[in-house]
Amino acid sequence: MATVRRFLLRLLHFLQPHRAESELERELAAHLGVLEDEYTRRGLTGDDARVAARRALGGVAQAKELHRDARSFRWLNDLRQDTRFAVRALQRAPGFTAVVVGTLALGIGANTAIFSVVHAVLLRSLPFPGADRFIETSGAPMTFQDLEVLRSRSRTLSNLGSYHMETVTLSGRGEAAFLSGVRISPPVMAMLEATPLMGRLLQPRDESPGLDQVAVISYSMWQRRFAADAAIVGKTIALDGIQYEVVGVMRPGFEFPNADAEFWTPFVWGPRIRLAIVGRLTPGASFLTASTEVDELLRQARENRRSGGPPPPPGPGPGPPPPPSGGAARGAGPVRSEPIPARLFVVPLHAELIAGAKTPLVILSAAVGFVLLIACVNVGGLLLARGIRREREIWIRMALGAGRGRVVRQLVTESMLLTLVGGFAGVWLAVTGVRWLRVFGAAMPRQDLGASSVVPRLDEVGVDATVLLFALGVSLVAGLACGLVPAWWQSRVDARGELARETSATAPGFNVFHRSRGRALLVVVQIGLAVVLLLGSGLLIRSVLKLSSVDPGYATTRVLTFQVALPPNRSALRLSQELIAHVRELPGVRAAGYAQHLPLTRNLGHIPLSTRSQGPQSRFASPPPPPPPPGVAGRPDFPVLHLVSRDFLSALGVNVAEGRGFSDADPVGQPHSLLINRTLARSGFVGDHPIGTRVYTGAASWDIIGIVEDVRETGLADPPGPEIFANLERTGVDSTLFEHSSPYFAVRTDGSPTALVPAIRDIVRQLDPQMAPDRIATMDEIVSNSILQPRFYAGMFGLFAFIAGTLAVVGIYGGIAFAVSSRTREIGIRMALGASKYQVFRAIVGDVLVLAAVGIAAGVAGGALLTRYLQQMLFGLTPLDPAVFIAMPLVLAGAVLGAAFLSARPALSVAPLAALRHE
Amino acid sequence: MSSEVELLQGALDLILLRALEAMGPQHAYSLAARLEQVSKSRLTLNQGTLYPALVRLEQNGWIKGSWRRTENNREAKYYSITKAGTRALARETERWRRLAGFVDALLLHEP
Repeated sequence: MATVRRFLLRLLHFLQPHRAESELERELAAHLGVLEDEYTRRGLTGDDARVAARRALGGVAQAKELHRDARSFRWLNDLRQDTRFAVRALQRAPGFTAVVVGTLALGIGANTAIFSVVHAVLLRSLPFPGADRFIETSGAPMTFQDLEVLRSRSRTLSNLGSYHMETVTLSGRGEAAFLSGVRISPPVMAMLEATPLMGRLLQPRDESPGLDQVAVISYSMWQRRFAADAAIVGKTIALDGIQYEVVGVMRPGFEFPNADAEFWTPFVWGPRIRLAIVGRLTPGASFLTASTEVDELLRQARENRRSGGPPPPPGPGPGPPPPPSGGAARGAGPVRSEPIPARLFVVPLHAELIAGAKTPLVILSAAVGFVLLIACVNVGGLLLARGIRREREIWIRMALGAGRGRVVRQLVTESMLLTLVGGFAGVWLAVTGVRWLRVFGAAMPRQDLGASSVVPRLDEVGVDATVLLFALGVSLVAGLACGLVPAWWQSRVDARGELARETSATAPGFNVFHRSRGRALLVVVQIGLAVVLLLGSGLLIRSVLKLSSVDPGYATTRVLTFQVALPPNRSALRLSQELIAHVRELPGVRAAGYAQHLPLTRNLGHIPLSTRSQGPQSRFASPPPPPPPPGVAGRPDFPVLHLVSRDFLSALGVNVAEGRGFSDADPVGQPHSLLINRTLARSGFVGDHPIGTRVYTGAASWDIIGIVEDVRETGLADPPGPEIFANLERTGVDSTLFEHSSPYFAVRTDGSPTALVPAIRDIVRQLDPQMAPDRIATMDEIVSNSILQPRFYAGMFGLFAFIAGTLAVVGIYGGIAFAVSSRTREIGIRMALGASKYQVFRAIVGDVLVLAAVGIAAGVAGGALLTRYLQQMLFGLTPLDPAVFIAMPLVLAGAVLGAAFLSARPALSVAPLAALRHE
Repeated sequence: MSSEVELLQGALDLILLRALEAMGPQHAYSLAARLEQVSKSRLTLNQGTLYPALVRLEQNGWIKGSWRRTENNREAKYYSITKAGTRALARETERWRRLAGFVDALLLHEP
C-alpha cells in the first residue's frame, strides 16, 4: 500500500515539480531561521548568526538535488533535462538540424510508405471475420466432381464452392452499361459473414439450375443505378439480356473480392469448368491437415473414376468394397483420362490474389531498406562531424564529474530527438505518397486493365495504426543506431589529456578521416549500397525501355477503341454494322471496324484447326464455337481464332504481308475466307504455300487468302502464337458470340483520336438512346496500361536509387567540406611550406576517391550477387547486363568526383597567411 | 558507498519513526539535534540525508507534516507519526530485529 502511494506521489511530483520545489524552499528557509535562532541563543548576533546558520545548513544545492531524486524519478528528470538541452542545442544549429531531419524524413518516410503497401497487400488478411482461415485449393484446377467429393466427405473444410468475376451488360433501366460482378457459390458468400442491408444473401437452394436467376447487388449500385429504391427487392434486372430477380442489397463497404464487384449471382458449376475450390477451415483444422485430407480424398475419388467403378458412398460406414484397381471393371462409368495431379494442398485465400505482387514488393522493401541504411550512415557521419566540434564541451562536462553513461545518454537523446522529428516528417511524407499512389491508381484509363494488376488490394492501402507503430519503431532504432556509435566514440577520451591539447591539432598526414577510420568505413558502405541500388534500377529501367520498344504489330498512335453496352433483343451484329458505317463517314477517320477481341484485353480460347475435314460428327459442327467459359483452357498449340469485321485489322494498323485482306468480294457461304498470321504460316502447319490452302475447323471449311503480321496479343513480353482471323460479317455468326453482347470497336484516325469521342457518342445515341459508348481508350493507353507493373516498379526503384545516390554523394561533399573548413590552418601551413595547389588538392581529394573506388567495387560485387533476385522482373536482359554494370558505376563515380572537386575548391583559394591566423 | 547508504536508509527510516513516536511532533532541525544528542554524537545527520528520508516517509504515508510556529515565532514544518506509521514501525522493527539476529547468528557462530 505504502509503495503504491509513494509511486503515485513520485509520478505526481515528476509531472508537477514546482509545488514541491517551493515547499522545499520554504522548509529550508524555515530551517535556516531556526538555526539562526539557535546561534543567536548561543550568543552570536545579527549577521554573524545568519552566516553561521548558513554554514551549518551545509550544501543546499546538493540537499535539493537529493530531495528531488527521492520525491520524483531520477531517470525521468534526467530525461526531461536531456531533452530540453537537446532541443536548445539543435535550435542553435538550424542548418544541421534541417539536413539531418530531411535525410531521415526521406529514409523513414520511404520505408513507411512501402511498409504500408506491404502490410495491406501481403500481411493483412482479407477484411472479413476469420479471414485467415479462408482457403483455396492449389496444385491443380478442380472439377465439379471434386467439389461434390469434398462437400460430402471433408471434415476439415466447410463453406466449399468457388467464384469468378465477370463483366456483363446491365440493361432495361436507362442507359445500358457494363457492370463487374461475381458468380459465387452461396456457401462461400455465407462464410464472409456479412449481413445484408435489405433482403437476403444467396442461399444454397439458389445453386440449382433454374433457381439461379437471383442477384444480390452492392450498396453503391443500389444508390447509383436504382436511386436507392426502397422496394428494389423483388424487382428484376437484365444482365446480358437475362432477367435476374434482386433478392438483397449489401451494406456500404462490403467488397468481395474487390471494390469493383457490384453484384453477386449464384455460381453453378458446369461440367467443363475448372477452377480452384474456395472454402473455410473448420474449427480445429489446420492448413496442413486440410491439405492432407484434400489430397487423399480427391486422389482416391479420381482413382475410382479412372478405374470406372462407382465412387465409395459418402460418410463412414460399411459400403460396397472398392473396385479392384487396374481397371478390370470398365464400362460402368464414363471413361475419362484425367491425369492424377501432383500433390494437392490448400493455401490461404489471399495468397492467390497477391501472388503476382509478392516478389516485386519484397524487392522494393529491400531497396527502400538500403535507402534508410544510407540515410542512417549519412546522419551518423554528420553527428560524428558535429561531435568533433563539441569535444571541448564534452570533455569539460566529464571533467566536472559527468559519468560516461550520462554523457552518452545525453548525446543519444539528441539523436533520438532528431530521428523522432525526422520520423514525424517521414510519416507525413508517407501519407502524401500513399495518397498519391491511390489517386494514381484510381485515375487510370481502362480501370479493368490498370492499377489493380500492379498493386492488388490498392484500395486497402493506407497509413493505419500498425504502420505508425512501424514508423515509430524504425525511428527509434535509427536513432539508437545513428547516435550510439558517435556518442560512444566521443566519450571514450581521457578528459584531462585531451583538454590539454589544442583542438585543431595537426597530425601526420593530412587525412580527411584523421582519427576516424569509422568515417572511412561509412563512406565505403554508403557508396556500395548506392551502387547496388543504381544497378538494380538500371536493370529495371532498361527492361522497361526494351519492353516499350517492342513492336506490337499494330498501330498504337491514333487508334481509338471503345465498347458499347447493347440493350437486349437487338442484333449486336446489325447494330455494330450500322455504327461502323456511320463512324466511317466522320471526318478524319481512315478505317473503322469491330471485333470480338482487342489485343491485350482478355484471355482467348484456342480452336482446333486441321488440314483435313473432321466430318459432321466432330464437336465443332458449325463455326465457330462460343467463347470458352472460365477456367477452360484449350490446347496452346492450336491457333487462336479472331472474329473481326472487314476493316478491323486495317483500323488497328495490322499489315497484310502476303495475299490480301478481307473485302466485300469474299463469299458468304463456305469455304469462308481466312487470314492467318506469320507465326502460323511459318510453322508449316498449313504447308509451305499457305495462300489458297483449304483448312477446316471441325466440319467448316476455309480458304486462306492472306498472311498478316504477328500481333502481341497477351502481352508485350509474350511471343506471338499462331492466330487465324475470320470475317464475322461473312461467317453467319450471331450475337451470342460477343461476350456480354458487346464487340470492341477500333477507329483509325488522321488526327487526335479523342477528338472523335463526342461525335461517336452522338452516333451511338442516335442508333438507340439506351446505348452509350464505354471503356473508351486509345490503343496507346491500353498498351502502356499493359506494362504498368514494370513501369511502376522501375519508377519506384529508380526513385530510391536516385535518393540513395544523392544521399551518398552529398555525404561525401559534406565530409570533405567539413574537413577543409576545420583544417584551414593546416592547409595554410602546407602551402606556406611549399605545397602547390595541386598537391594540396590531391591530398584532400585523393583518399576520398580511393574510398569511393573501393565502395564502387564492393557495390558492383554485391550487385552481381543480388541482382539475380530481379530475374523475374526483367525483360530482354540478363541480371548481369554489361551495359548497366558499366554505366551505373561510372555515373556514380562521376557524381562523386564532381562533389569532391566542388567541395575541395575552397581549399585552393586559401591564403596561407590568413589561414595561419585562423583559429 | 551506495550499498552502505542503502542499509542506512532502512535503518534511518526506522530511527526517525521511532524518534517521532517517542518525542512527538518535531521539525527537521530539532529532530536531527535530538538524535545527535541521544546517540551521543555518533549519529550526525546532514541535510542531504535528512530531507530525502523525510520525503520518503511522507510519501509512504507514515509521517505527516504541518506548518506551525516555534517558540521564537518562526514558522517551521513539524512532522508527526501517523497511525499507518505506527503500524509500519512495529512491523519493520520486528523485521529488523529478526534480520539483525540472523546476521548475528551467521557471523558469531561457527558453521
